[in-house]
Amino acid sequence: MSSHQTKESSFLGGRIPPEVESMSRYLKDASLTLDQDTFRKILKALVSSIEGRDCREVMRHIAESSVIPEEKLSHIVAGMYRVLTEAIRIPTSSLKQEAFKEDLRELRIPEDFITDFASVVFGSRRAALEAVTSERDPHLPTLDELRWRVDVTISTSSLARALQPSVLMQIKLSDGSLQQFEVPVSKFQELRYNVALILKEMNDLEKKSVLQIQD
Amino acid sequence: MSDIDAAKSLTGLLNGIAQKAYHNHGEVTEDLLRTELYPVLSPEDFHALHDKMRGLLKSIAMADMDPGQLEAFLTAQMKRQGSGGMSEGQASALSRFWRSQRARVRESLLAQSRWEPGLRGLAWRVDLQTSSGRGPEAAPGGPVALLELELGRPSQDSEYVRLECDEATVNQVLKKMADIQRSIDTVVHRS
Repeated sequence: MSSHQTKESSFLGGRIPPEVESMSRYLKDASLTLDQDTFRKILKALVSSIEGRDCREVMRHIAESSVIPEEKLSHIVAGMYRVLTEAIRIPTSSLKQEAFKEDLRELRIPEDFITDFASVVFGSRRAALEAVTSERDPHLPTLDELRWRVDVTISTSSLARALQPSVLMQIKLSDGSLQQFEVPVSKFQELRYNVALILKEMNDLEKKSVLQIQD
Repeated sequence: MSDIDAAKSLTGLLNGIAQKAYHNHGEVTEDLLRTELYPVLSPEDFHALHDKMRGLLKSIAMADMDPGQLEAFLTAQMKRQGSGGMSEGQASALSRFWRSQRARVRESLLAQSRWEPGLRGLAWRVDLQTSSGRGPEAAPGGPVALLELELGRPSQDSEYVRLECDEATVNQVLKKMADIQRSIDTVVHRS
């Protein structure tokens, strides 16, 4: 192997994002003296932010109590944020901890900081972070609840003996909406058939090898 | 009017009454029926005929008469004296009409008593997630079912409800549907 770049491009992509470049520049800058304590505080605030909490107060406090000029600090924070979000995007099956650390070493980020990054990306908090970020994906509401009952119409004002069964369904979706509708027995058979067909399709899809594609 | 013509006109009248009362065609007015089918009759005479037929049809539809019941009913009508009576021609026209229209009228009457929106249609597809902009998928490349339910009240435009489900959800729904089917089966006698 030549010493040149023969491994795959960094998890950050073919071109390192500018905010990450500036971050690594400032982190290496000895004169800036970003201590690990401050770094960890920033990291914690960023994780909190990714999880959806407001961290402006915390950030302001960090900026005020740090000797680092605000402009440089903001570059550092931006870069750190980018590193975290890009890493979380990639499933752990594709990006392993060692590769992640290697990529950061290439940027000459101090080892201590790399360890801290890794502890967030590959630590116990990872699942929670993934859950929050995937919620922001574009998607349709999901089914929260399905309730039903079977009614039999005995008679109506214009039909003395109806004796007609029908299914009443109520679905609650994740966006809070509630839909109630009636399904005549014939339509219900059609519905049930289609749902069974959907499940079969999903099962078949899982068996196909297209799902085994790895990066 | 010849017997055949009389039968044709009466059948037309019964159809017109059914269209208006059961199949939502409000534009079929009494006046229209008279001019089309009984132009010779005076409005008053026609009105009497129309109302009589409408009343008879209503009784037959309300009881959802089977052929035996209908025959008994018509026989009784024919025995009645005076204007309440019925000719054999009229009885057979009514009988023919009901034989062909019974199911349709019953269906319409049932539909008229449904006030909840009904499920009109279902469209769906199964997608495979390969990547997403923000976060990784929970199960790499998990299949996702997208469903579109078409709901609507009678004579109203459809409303479309779209949702997505993962495999576990579809499985749960299918289980519930088996429960529903069992419930229906206990209500409906299966021969």
